[in-house]
Amino acid sequence: MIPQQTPVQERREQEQGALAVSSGAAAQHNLRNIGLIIGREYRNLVKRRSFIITSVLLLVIVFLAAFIPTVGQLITARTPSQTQIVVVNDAGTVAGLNDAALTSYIRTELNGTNTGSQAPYAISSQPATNLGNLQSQVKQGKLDILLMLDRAANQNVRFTYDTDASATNDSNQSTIQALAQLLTFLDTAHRLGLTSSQTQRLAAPPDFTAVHTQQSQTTRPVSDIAAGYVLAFAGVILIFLSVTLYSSIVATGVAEEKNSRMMELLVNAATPFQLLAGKIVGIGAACLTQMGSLVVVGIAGLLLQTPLQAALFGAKAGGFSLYLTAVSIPFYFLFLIYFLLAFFLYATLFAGLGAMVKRQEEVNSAIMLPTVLIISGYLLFFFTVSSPDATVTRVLSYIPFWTPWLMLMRLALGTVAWWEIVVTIALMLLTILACTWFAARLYRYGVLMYGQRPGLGQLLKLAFGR
Amino acid sequence: MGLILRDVSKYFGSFQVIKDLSMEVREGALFGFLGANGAGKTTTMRMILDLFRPDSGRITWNGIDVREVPRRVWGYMPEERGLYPKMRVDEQLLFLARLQGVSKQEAQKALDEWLERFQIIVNRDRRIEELSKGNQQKVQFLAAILHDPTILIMDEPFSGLDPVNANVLKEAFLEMRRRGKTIIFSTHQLEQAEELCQDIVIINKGQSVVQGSVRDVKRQSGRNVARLKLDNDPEANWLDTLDGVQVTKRREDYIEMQIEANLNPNVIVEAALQHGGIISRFELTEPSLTDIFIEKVGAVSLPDAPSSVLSA
Repeated sequence: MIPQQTPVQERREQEQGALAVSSGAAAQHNLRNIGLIIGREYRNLVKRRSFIITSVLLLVIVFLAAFIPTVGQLITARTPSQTQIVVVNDAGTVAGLNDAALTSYIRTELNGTNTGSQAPYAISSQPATNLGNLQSQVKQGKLDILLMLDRAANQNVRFTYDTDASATNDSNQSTIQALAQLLTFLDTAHRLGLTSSQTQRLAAPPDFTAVHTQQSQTTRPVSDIAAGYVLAFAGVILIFLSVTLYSSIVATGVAEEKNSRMMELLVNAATPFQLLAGKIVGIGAACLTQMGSLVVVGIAGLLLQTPLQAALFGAKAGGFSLYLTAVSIPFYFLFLIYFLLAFFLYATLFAGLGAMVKRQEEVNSAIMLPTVLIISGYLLFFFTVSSPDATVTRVLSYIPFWTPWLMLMRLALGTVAWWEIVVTIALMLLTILACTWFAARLYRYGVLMYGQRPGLGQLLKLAFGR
Repeated sequence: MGLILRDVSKYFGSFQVIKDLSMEVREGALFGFLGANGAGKTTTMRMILDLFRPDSGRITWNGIDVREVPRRVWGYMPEERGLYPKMRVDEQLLFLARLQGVSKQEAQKALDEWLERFQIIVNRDRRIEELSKGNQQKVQFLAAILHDPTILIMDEPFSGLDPVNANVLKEAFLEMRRRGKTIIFSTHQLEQAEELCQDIVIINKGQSVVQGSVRDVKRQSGRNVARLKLDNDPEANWLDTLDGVQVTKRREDYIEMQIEANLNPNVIVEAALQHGGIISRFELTEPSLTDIFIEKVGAVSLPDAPSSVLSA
């Protein structure tokens, strides 16, 4: 015992020295430890085979998805799109028009100013004797539409519309019906003996003026709104995916450490806050890597479309780069901020709850409540997307758990005052702080609590107790 | 000084796991922490490490409350092995050492040295889950010591090790002791404690049953052990009638008995000769820790049937 006294004595002095400076060096230790844990979590995740496979698959899907509009356009361009209509008139003169005049009237009415191959409808007339033959042609799909006119007992024109389309897949019926209504009106007016000027007076549209007293969105160009829709949808889906996917990775990671008793070593080496912060930031960085590369590949794919379409369709090419530039840079910046806040908020909650479970299999039931919050925020987006400036939307967007989705939508489609952005971000930050504090306490006690399952009362006692 | 527990109690719910436990571990000692399963060894260790807080009582290291002691001072090897199963051995150990504040170079140096000593250097770039149980345990030991802690808390370090690996670990213990570390380890392999430890404590149901240096504990028991073999009378049933003698085992090779400290052993030899026995073996020895453990713990944990434990 005696000969060992000297080194032990020295060490004791070192310890007491370390104790004295520990508070001063604490911040430095904090950063160093959090950095180490971030590095471990990040490498651990991105090196996983499942992570690499999923990422590559997603990248391929996103890249290919960028080509869908162009391919669609290509298909439309290649298929003959003129609808063939044969008119069989068995009603004599209709509205004072003979067969030839009627056919030409219908052609102008349906095609407007389009002529030749640009016209969507090709109209011809045939005598009533061919009716049986024409009807079987429609049935076989050789003819698109057969329109028969005759007169009912009360002398009104009767229209019979045969089509090769099914009831659920008929895009022409409403157009033809409108035409029939117009012809009936003109024919009745003619039979009543009205002059053409009298008929015109009868058909004159009402003098109707609408006055919108509230500020309207006309300051935003249409292209801006369209781009807003695309970005809002893409952003909302991206946030939803990231939060659900990566928050549950956080929860599973915590449960895993607890399950493998790694935790007992870790809490001896680092504080719960360091462990929590390192894990969340590390996994968040992996998430950003994946989502960031998805966005880059997606944008690259979209940018490719402009030259591709120019090559395929010549001057008719539409601009996809429109979506990228029409919305201002602050939007992208705010999107990133809400994205990160959403992730931190939910990941913190998930981490605290992950520390509460006994076995890894129980993670899913433990994270039920925040998962419901995530899904409800996602669904609220779809319920409110048509009324971005409604009071209810504004109120809901202040609730931190839903802010990321609803604020994103309001930013893209509605009007948002600058202070609303400040308030919602501040509210989210406060909630994140509260969640971190709560989760760190749950973590501290939960990680070492094996065997007993805590009730809600016990959870609160842990959180607010000594 | 050293590590001192004063009247420490801990409840899990309404169940008292540790009852007014007091003990002292001298600095630089190899200290055996003995007790049956469920006696409260792991809970006590977790309280020493400030993973649990005692409900009452105080735990100090060199006069400083353990809550205030820098974490780096402690090295901990949990009973149920805890490492990242999918992480490489060297990455894992470096991560843990650096988390404790060791510089990368220092950690690397210590790692190389210990992997060499434990003959697992070929496994350094393998994942933990690919290693045999014995090698996993060695890595777990390294995880506890690589940051050069002052006090080692080891929960059942020898469980599941084959004799060769147990010996490697024993050597490592002695090496750490030479370096002036204080080592507290729990075990129910009492031969190991007897071989390695200066001081021990035996706890049962959260209470200290006996503690002190191994020699004192044996002396305190107030008994000696005698072993007798008679060639012509292997049962020697007359021994049961002798005052101050209690037969504990009748084995093929000898009969073992405990004798009161104040009894002159010659009485047994004389009685054997009187009964016409031919003595081929007679020896006096101290009680083993196993005897003491069974006597103390067996009596407390099974008050209704002490004899069944004693004859086991």
